[in-house]
Amino acid sequence: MVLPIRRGKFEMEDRISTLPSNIIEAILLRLPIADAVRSSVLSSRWRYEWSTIPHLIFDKHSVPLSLHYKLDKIVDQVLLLHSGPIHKFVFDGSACLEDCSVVNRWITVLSRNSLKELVLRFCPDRIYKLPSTLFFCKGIVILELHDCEFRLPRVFEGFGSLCTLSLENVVISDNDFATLISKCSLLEKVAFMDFYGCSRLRFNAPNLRELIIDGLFEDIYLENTPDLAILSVGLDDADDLDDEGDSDNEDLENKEHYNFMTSLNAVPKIENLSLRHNMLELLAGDSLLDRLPTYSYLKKLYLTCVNFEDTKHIAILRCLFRSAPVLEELTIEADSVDSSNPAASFWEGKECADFRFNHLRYLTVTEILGVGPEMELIEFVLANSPVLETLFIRLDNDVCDEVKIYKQIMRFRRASTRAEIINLD
Amino acid sequence: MSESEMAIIKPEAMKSYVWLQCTDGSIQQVEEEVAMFCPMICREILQTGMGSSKNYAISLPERVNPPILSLILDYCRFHQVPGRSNKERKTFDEKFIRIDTKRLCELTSAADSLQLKPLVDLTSRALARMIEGKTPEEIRETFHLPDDLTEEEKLEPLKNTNDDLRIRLLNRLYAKKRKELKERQKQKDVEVEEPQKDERSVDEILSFINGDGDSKSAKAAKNKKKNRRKKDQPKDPSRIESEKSHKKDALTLSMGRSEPGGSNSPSPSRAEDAFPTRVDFEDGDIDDELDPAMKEELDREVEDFARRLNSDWPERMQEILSLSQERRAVPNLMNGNGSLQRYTEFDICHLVE
Repeated sequence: MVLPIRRGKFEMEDRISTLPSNIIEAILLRLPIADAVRSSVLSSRWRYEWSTIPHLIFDKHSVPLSLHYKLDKIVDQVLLLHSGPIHKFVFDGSACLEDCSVVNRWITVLSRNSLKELVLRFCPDRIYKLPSTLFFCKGIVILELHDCEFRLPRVFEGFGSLCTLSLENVVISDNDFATLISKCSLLEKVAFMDFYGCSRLRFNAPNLRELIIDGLFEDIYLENTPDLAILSVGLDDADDLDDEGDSDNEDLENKEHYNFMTSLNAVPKIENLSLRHNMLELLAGDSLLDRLPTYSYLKKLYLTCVNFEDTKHIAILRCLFRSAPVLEELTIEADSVDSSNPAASFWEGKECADFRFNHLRYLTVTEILGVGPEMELIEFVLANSPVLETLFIRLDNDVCDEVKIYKQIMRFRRASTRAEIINLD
Repeated sequence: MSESEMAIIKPEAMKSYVWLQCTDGSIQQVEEEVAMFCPMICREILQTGMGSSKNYAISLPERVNPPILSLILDYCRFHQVPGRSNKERKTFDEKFIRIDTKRLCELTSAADSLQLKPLVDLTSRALARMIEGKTPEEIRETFHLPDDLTEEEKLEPLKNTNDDLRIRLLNRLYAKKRKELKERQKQKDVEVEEPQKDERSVDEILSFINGDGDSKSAKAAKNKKKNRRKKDQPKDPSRIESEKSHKKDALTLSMGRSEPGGSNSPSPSRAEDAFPTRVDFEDGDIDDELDPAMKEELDREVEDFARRLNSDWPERMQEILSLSQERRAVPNLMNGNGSLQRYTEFDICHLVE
C-alpha cells in the first residue's frame, strides 16, 4: 500500500494498520485472547480484525486469573462475536467452572466451524460428560481432554483426521476405548493417563508411532501397531486403600499377561521403550519373558522401580539387554528392597554375559544402594562399552556409606577412553 | 592458469551476483546466495532467468524500498550461512528487530511480499510483544493509530450489518409495531363488533402495558408509563419485548376467535360488560390520538430498547438470554396468578375467551 507522503507528518504515520490482513492476523494470533479482543477499540481499521482469528485460547496464560470467575461468559461473548472458521479452541475451566454444561453449546458451535484442535480441561473432581456433538467434529486433528467422561454414540464413524489423542483423568469403557482407537485410522500419537472404567486396553491403530500409558490396567494388547516407535508404559499401584493391597499385587504376578507379551512381540520397529512403576512386577509374573524378539532399532531404554534384590527383575533386565543390541541410552531408576526372591548376583546361572553394549553411549543409574547385582551391572557396562561417553550416577538418600560406593565405582575398568562418571545431585 | 591459482581467484571474481530493482528505480547488486534466501527472488531467478545483469534486474514488489531492502539483505546474509548455531541466530534476531516501530512495520510488510516467512514470524512476534499488555491509549501512541471510533462504537463490538443481533431484534420490533398499526387501521375501517372487541382487547393490553390496568385517564396512564420505565430500567426491555410478543400472541388469539362468527357473539358483550368504563376512555383517546400516539410510543419504546442494548455488554447478554428464556417460560404460567405485571396479558386472554 502506498500512502501519500506528507512532509512533516511522515513520522507520525500509522504504518501498522496498512499491513496486509494476514500479517495483522499473525500478530493477533500471538497475543493472549484478551489483548486480541481489546484491539477492536484501537481504531476503525482494527475493529473487526480480531473476530476472524482462527485460534481461540482461554487458559491460565492467555486470560488473567482475575477474570477466570467469569470465563464462561467471556467465551460466550467471544464465540458470539467471532466469525469465520475456528481451528483451535483451548479451554481450561479448572479455575472456575461451576456448571460444565455451558461447554455443550460451545462444542455445538465449534462442530460447525471446521475445528481442528480442541483442548478441554476441567476440575479433577468434576467430570464433564462429553456431549455427542463432539463426536461429529469430523475434521479434528488434535484432541486433548482432561477430566471428561466418554459415552460414544451408537453410530460412531470415528475422527477420520485425528492424529494426536491425549486423554488424562477420563472415564471410558473398554469397548468405547477400543472403538475410539480403531475408528481413527490416522492416529499417530496417543497419551492415555489416569483412566477409569477400562482395564484391558486394545490398540488397533496401524499408523500409531507413539504411545504413552499411565494408569491402572490389567492388560494391554497392541493388536495392530506395527510402526510403533515410542512406547512408554507405567502401571500404577493397585489401590492402596484396599486392605488386601498385597494380595492384589500377588494376583498381578500370577496372572498370565499373554496380551502384553504378545504386544511386545508385535513392535519390531520400536526405538524408545519405557517401562515404569510396576511394569517390571507385571512382567516378572510372566514365564514367557525369555522369548522377547530382537529389536534392531531400539536405542533408548528407560526402566524404573528396578529391584536389584529380586531375581525376576534381574532376569527381565538380562532379557531386555539381549534384545537390544544397538542400545545407545540406558536409564535405570533402582528401587532395591528386600524381596522374596533374593538375588545373589547379576549373573546368576550364567557363566558369562550373553549380551553386549557395543553402541551404548549413556548410562544413568539412580537410587543406587550399592547392592551386589547393581554394582556388578555397573562394572560390566564400564568394562564392555567401547563408545561409552558418560555414566550418570546418583546414590539413594538412605545410603550410609557413600564413600565406599564411590570408591568401588572408581576402581572399575573402563573400556572407553572417553568415559566420564558424573554424579547427579 | 593453474588450478591452484584458479582456486585462489575464484572466491572473489567468480562469485555470482544478481541485480534487484526497487519500484523507485534504484538497482542493487547482491551476492546470489544471499538473494536466493528469499523464496520470491529465488523463484524469479529460476523460473524467468531474470536478474543476471543490470538490464534485466528483478523487479521487487512495491512494499520493498531501498533502506528496507538493505535490512532484509543483512538478515539473509547472516542466516544463509549454514554453520551458525541456534544461539547465534537467536542473538542476531534479537538485535535485528531493535528498530523503531515504523521501520519494523515496513520490514514486516516487505518480508511478507518477498515471502520470507522466518522474518515475517520474527517481526510479527516483535510487533505482538509491543502490543501485549498495553492499554489501547498506549498502543495508539506507539503506532500512531488514529482514534477514530466514537465512544458508542468502542462499547459495541458488534458489526452493524444485518447479521447484528441487535439490529435484527430492533427490526423485528419495528415490523411488529407497524403490523399492529396496520391492523388497527383495518379494524377502524370495518364496522363490526368483533373487530371492535379485538381492538378493545388490544387496547386493554396496551393499557396494561402503559399503566397498571386500573381505570385511569390516558394521560395519567402515559405518565405512569414514563415513571415506571425510569424506575425499572434493567427490567424494561425484557418486559417490553415479552409484552410485545404476548400482545402479538393475544392479537392472533383474538383474531382467531373472531372468525367463527356466531359462537363469539356472546363474548364481545361480555367483554363490553367487563370493561365498560375503560372502553369509553380508550375509545375517546384512540379516535383522536391513535396514530401519533402509537407512533410516539413506538419510537420511544424502540429508542429505550436500543439504549438498553447500548449499555453494559454483559447485562445486554443477560437480557437477550433472559428474553429467549421468558418467551419459553411464560407459556407455562398460563394459569398462574397475575401477581406479576408481565403475566396479566394471559389473564386478559382468559377473561376475553
